[in-house]
Amino acid sequence: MTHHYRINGSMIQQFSGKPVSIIGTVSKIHPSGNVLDLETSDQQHIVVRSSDHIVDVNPGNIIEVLGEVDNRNQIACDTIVTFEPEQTANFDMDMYNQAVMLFQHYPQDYLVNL
Amino acid sequence: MALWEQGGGSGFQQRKAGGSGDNDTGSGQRSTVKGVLTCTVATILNAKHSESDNCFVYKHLKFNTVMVMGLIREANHEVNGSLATYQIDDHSGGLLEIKWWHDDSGEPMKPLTYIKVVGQVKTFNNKVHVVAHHINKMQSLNELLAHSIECVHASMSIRKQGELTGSGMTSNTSHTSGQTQQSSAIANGFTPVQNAVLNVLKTVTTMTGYSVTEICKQLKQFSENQVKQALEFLSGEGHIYSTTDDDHFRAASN
Repeated sequence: MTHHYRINGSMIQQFSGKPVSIIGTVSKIHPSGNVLDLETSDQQHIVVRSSDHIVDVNPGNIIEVLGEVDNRNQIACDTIVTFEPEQTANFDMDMYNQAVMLFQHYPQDYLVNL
Repeated sequence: MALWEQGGGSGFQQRKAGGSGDNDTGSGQRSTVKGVLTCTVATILNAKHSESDNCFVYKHLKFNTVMVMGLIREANHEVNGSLATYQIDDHSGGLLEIKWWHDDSGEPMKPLTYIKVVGQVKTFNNKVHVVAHHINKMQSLNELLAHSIECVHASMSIRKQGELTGSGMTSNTSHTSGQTQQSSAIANGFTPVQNAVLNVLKTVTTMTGYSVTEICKQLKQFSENQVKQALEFLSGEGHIYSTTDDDHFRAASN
């Protein structure tokens, strides 16, 4: 389990090729069942490709995607973390977006294994 | 000074054990770092145990008890036992082993769920793990968010405290919820008022000393009430004494 950078939509290009964690809202699941469209904490849309068939996920759900940014600025995802409705009700997506930037600005305090 | 205290005398000499100092644990040398540090998994995995500080150290952080939040990647429950072992991942890099001796209440936690753990860091075979005091399922994603922000805040507070007081900070309080210390100088164990009153009384040249009114005149920055309270405290402790009447004081060390 390597360090995954917590990012939002506008940071995707910056983190090409790196392992990332993104929390966002599912806007659409492709008919193929392996690809979904995620709205990030800064209201951008990214494409997430999963290695497995995506289950237990519906549009409107908040999920966490763990994977790598590929050269098309899409996420090649190996893990999707789903949450119970009680866990995501009232989730402050704006605050999360600010926190994501906070972690970037304070690498000496948000301690990770690079 | 008695003969035998003079040191270097023929015969009886004080000797210190080896080079490691005496075993006087009451001297506070091996005081334990108390308090709970909210931190990332990477912090714990990178920490080294310090014998001299009797705690784990990573960069500017010193800790024994930690609070972490992470995703369960692996869960192992002893079949007929009370030990559950979890490998948790908070994306800071690495997996942290959590040992949880539980009673039979509560359902076992499953992989790919987030949990919050408070526990003590231990090493075994050169590998760290945490013995949990408390484990709770994450109630809300806001909890995870707050936790991550608190990790930054805790680290920042501690770093700033360290910068203020220099490396001589041997305080045991790794109280990290951002509560700032009572830095309004408690010098020598006295408050500013008490210190000021005592210093005034130390300048006394007469046997009568100074009256409350005279002291207040010299310490315009404090109210009469404050001065009176300080006098009460100081005389109670024996630093000052009253002279001709209850209104006049002198410092005991004059």
